[in-house]
Amino acid sequence: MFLQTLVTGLAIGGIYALMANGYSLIFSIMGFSNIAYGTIIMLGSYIGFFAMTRFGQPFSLALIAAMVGAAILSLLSERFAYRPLRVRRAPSLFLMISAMGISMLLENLVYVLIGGSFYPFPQVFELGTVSIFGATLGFLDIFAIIFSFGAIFILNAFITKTRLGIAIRAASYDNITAMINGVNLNSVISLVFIISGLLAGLSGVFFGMKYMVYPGMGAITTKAYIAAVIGGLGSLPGAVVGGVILGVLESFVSVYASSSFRDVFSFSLLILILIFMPNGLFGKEAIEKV
Amino acid sequence: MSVYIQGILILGMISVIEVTGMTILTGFTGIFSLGHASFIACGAYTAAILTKNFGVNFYIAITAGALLAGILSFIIGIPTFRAKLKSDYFAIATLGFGEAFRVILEHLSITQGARGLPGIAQHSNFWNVLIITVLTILVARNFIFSKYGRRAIALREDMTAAEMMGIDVYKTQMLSLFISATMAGLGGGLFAHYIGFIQPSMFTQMQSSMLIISVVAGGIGSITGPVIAAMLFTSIPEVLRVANLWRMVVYGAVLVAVMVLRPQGIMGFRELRLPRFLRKNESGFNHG
Amino acid sequence: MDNPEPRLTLDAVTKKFGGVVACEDISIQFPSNKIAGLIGPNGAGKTTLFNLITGVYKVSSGSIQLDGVDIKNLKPNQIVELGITRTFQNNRLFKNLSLMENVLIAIDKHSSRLGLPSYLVSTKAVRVLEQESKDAAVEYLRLVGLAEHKDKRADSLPYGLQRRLEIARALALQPRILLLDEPAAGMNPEESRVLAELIYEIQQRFNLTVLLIEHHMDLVMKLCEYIYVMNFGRLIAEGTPAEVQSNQLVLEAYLGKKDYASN
Repeated sequence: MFLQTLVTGLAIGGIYALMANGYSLIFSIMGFSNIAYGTIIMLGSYIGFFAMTRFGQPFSLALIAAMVGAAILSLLSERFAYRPLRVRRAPSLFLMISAMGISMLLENLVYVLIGGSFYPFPQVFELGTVSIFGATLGFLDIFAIIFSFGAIFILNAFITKTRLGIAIRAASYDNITAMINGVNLNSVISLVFIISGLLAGLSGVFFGMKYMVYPGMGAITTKAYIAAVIGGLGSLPGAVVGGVILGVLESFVSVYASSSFRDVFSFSLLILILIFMPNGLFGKEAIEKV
Repeated sequence: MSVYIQGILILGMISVIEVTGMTILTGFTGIFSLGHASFIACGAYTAAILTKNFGVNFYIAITAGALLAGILSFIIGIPTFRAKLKSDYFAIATLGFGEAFRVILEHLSITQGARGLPGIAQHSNFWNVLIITVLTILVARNFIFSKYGRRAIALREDMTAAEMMGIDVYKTQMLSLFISATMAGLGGGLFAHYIGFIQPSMFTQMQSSMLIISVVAGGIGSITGPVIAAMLFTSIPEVLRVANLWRMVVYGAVLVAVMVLRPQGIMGFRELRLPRFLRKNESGFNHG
Repeated sequence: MDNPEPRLTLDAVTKKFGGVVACEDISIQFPSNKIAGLIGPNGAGKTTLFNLITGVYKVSSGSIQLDGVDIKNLKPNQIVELGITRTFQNNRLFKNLSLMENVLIAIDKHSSRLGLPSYLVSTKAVRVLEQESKDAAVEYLRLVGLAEHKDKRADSLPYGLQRRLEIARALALQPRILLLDEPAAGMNPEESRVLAELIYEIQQRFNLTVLLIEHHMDLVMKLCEYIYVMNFGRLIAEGTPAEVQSNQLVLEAYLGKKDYASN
């Protein structure tokens, strides 16, 4: 029971970690909380779902379609809703309001055009299980863990090893200094939105398989935000650690306490972390220049 | 006036009351809350339970609901403002608070859980809602033109400079949150006694968002702008009988468009000049 | 003022940001009711010192005392309460508000006779008090020569006048000690001469202790009775303008800027 709960927790935690990475990337470079990110994840999930059901594509292609589609949506949202504000150096509050608008717009568009039904994802990984040390572990959970941690590994390599990755890190320390040193801020930010879109597509598909596909699933990805806050907004390792911690804790709360209070637990955890360690586990402390 | 139009106006005015509170918080103090639905819910449930289960007088009940909503705001406000959470972190904390509060409502027995509370007496009518709305706007205006309001505005403008003016940031933020939560709770109480039935799913994050949309579209730093926006956003879709979901799509688009094209909103930093009562002496906070 | 001679003392004040030492072991006893200058090359830690005195930053070690009481753990608004106010290097006005409202916010600190409920219903007493506050605000604006602009938005003023508005706002708090962070920055010689006169007039009129950071050496040498020189976070010299000007360490710190020192 313990091991099983732990693996379920890791699977959910891995998905949270993926999403939290997407959030954190955008936060680190733009300095605002992109609350529309959950909506992009939801749309990624729908793209993957329809690619398989409506167009009969195999899982691998559906996954790629979801990732590419979410990346395009992510990029478009930046172009239309955030860039004009960023250029004007608008306060982060305004960017957040704009993100809220994008989120309302897209989510309700899905309600209008597709409807509010819950769709189960087609079975990709047979419902099979493996038994290890007497615990029964689902294939899906194991695949989710492999995919999400694999993606996080690749992302980490990209950010730390490649030229573009280094440009992203430079810009996240200081937009202006990076620009002076020849970093094209617009393209770096576009790149960040593409990467976070790819992550959104991937996590959306796994999230849809784990639960279901429905318009409101973006709200559940608030959890990813909580994960990012636990780790420290803007920190990628923090996002991973935060995601795993949250996923595991939640799955233990559901099993050993009550599943209905799982969300109350997560939100209380969020508020406590914000109050007692507002920079999270790995966040950098901001010193205001006066 | 037909019952139908009265109904629209009553709902519009209730939303004006709630939005006026949000105006004080977001438009004048520069604090962004995503959890105001919890204060509305608190006011609605408190007032409804008082009149329904305990036979308390309607006006006392809605006052109690408003005050309890204000007290509820201390639970989230005290720790977060003490920790000096920056604007987005505070917004996220309130989002978590709002969601958690709703889940709790779904599991309490006195609120009858997710099924909701039916059979609340219809005490809210056009006239008492109208009077309460006007009083609310007047109180909000007096607050904003007072030294307390100026302190709030100073925080919105520049927090460090405000501290250098001897302003206690924590107390000022808490006061704005308290007043706005109280107004949200008052709106909630009136709403419950107009609709007659409440359940937790009526008080979601979407409701909090609606308040922000009115404030933003109406204009940050204005009272009249958001009041007009709140009235329009409630009544136009009703009159046009637009499907609810398309309405939300349009609101989303409006929000993005306002931020991209005219971030100061319809009436940013200005007041409608016609109602002279909203202007005070010669130098109010009006900047044409 | 109940205490006409404020004693502001820094005792071994050190401030570190991570591994960077911005101020190191600074001990100063500021002269009361006089104008003192704080000079030094860019990045010497002058503004950091202001931020420490006004509570914007917390000191890493050492103590800051006002009249013998340690103020290092107080919040900025509590320090204002004790009579220390400042202006900022980069104007930090309430941009969207009028000049009058900018000063009113400072005046409000001393008009606390009435409570919130009276304000919410806007009683007669409140309206009378508001009018008094507005009259007082106009007086402060007149003092710095901005009375005729009282209803303009703060950000509509040219830069030099914005600096004056900051001074009016700080004065309206009725300080005993006024810290001015580069009040003449961006001004031409004529403007900075007029500003120097204003600062002198204000100091005399309110019998203030003024501490100013400035790069315009002529202004510093003319106004200040006593000067502190910082470099690389340390206090390297202090004395009268004449003493400082002939100090070898100071000349070295300003190497290449000798023309300044000889002005």
